[in-house]
Amino acid sequence: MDSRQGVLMSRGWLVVALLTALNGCAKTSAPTPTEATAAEAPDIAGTWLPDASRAEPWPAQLPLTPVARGLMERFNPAEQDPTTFCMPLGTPRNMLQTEYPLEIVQTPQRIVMVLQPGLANAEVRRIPLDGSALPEPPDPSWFGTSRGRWEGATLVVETVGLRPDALVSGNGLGHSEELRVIERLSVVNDPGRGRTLIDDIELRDPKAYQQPLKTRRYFAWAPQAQLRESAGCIESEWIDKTWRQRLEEHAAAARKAGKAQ
Amino acid sequence: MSTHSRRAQLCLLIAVAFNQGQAVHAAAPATESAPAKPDFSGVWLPNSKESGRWPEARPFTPAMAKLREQWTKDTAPIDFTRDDDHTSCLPYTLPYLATTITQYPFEIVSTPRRIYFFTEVYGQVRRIDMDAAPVSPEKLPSRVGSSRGHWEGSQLVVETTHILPENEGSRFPGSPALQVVERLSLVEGGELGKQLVDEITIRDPLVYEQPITIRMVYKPARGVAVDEYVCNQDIWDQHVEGSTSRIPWR
Repeated sequence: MDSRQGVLMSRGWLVVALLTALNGCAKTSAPTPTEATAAEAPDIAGTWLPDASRAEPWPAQLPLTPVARGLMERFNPAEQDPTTFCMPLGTPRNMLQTEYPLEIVQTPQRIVMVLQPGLANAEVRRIPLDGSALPEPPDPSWFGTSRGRWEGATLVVETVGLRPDALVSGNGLGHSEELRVIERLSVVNDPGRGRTLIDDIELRDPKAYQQPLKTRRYFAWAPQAQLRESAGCIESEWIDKTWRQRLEEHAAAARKAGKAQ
Repeated sequence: MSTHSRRAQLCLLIAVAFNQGQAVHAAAPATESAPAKPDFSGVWLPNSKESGRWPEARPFTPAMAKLREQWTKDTAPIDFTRDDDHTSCLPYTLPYLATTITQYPFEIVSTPRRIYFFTEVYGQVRRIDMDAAPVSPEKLPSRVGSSRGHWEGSQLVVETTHILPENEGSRFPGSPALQVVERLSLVEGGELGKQLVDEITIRDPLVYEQPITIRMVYKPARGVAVDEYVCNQDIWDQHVEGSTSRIPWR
């Protein structure tokens, strides 16, 4: 992230912090979640801000397999972190991050989750609620193949088919192609904090983890927050390089032409 | 990009095969839109035969024509395999985003407050805020701009401003004054089923002497999924595959 983005980001977060504070002070017009039946799912649509202060840290000793541990120990972010190359965070890293807002689009047939971390472009998770089975074997992708279902007021999302070159976190924690992400999302009215989305995330991957990894993320309801489209990474890392190269070529051509005259 | 193109071509073939097999109906009915309004939800592909095109001679203002001429002179020789924002993985801007005829589908998801357009190409998201307040002049521009929508009978009218302007050398230059008004409706498309028509009016007094109107037609693409699209995927793949034993389970 360049400094310009950093400034924008901090300004954005100031607004967000104010809005969140306001939400906490005043009774918001957000609907109170109710216990859902199959016919009446709770409303989880809208924009949510991850609460970094409540993000559960991973345990100090992760139950990694020797292969996964070795990879993490030898991890070189400059070479092995896809975000260094403006690639997406991918799932579940996009849900575990605590910097960018999450927008949920909800219809009775499906849920769409949108994140825009300023890398390639939007990260869009499409989650059908149609009861269909997950494909086997899935075609690996950054955001995976998901299916969702309502269990009472909890949205259960299972995701498979995740690219093994994506990371779980920026410290080199990875996964294999066998990763299965199970999320349980629910909305609560948290006293003092207001409307809160909780995502209980479980990562099952026998090739990488000796037992499932579990963590939790909290998101504050932020109806005024807006996701910003940003190709900042592409612009700064990619276009700049292209243009720098072009300018050098122009300069070299000009020097050559100068010598020829 | 090639992988994605192949995948999209495959999707297209499947769609064509599907079309031949049975009549295609318009997208699945929405349950959340206001009653009596047409529902645009579903996956759509540009209908290249029926869609309009940009005029060959665009009515550039004399000032813009001069700027473009100067830019071309300063930038030559231009190599569009590199000297093009979109080849370099920068996403499209409006109105080009809506007028381009690609093999990539886009999906509309309707909710009462907001209608979403998810494009496969560049993975862009357009949000149409229904009956929303005017956009603050201080809002920062973006490639998809800020859109507000309202219904006029069975037409969805979308006004978009705050579009990040492309420079004078771009194929589709813009200025901060650029405004795009779209009138979307469903029309019978014979055996294709209901098609989505988007009458696009482009006004940009700093670029064009008069408005440009383009009528786009999108056909339903049932059975086609909007896939994820990562433009710079090939760069990463080459990086990963050119390295050894970093990811042993690949």
